[in-house]
Amino acid sequence: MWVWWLLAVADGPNAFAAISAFSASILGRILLFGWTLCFFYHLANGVRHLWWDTGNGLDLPSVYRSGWTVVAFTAVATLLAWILGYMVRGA
Amino acid sequence: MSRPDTRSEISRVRGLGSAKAGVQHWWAQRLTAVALVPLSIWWIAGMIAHTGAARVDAAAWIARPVNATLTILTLAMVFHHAQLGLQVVIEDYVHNEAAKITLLIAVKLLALILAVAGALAVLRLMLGGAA
Repeated sequence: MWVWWLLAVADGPNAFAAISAFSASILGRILLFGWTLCFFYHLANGVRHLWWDTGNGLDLPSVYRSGWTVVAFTAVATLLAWILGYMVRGA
Repeated sequence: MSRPDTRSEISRVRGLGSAKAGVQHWWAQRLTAVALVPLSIWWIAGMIAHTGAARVDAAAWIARPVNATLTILTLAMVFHHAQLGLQVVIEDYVHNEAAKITLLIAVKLLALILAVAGALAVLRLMLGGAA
């Protein structure tokens, strides 16, 4: 969808109108919301794994703590991204 | 009576085990991950800032040299990282050899196609003045 959007911007008004309409549709918004959620989860858990790779935070209490941090970050970042998006868009 | 194995230790080991590129794969996966932490956040912020934007505004944003550079870097990192990650999943879970090889090649080609297509779109916007 990312590459589709890039190609559409470069291709011209018709292609861009098509992807804009799809993105703004209910299905498009659900897909983009799910993708945003997955992105932030993958980002946070990826950083968690990089931290583990350094040999840190591998005891059980730390693992639980970082796990819930990932969940909280995902929720907050996703909501923030969508609130900002709707603010930019103006409704 | 079994035939005595006259091969050397090293020739018995060769061809067994991993694809013999495990460390490079592991390291590339982490390097692209580290690169993508700032790059992907930057790109998402750019997308949010252009929610509902007109095509000409989005095009002008991508066409700026810094944004074009960062976008192409993000494309390269995203699809390399995705290919490396999917490769691990396929190698771990697809046990039919023919299906495994086919999927591995398909994922590699698809990642390459998407990265090149995206980069060409960025270049067109930057060089062609398509806006």
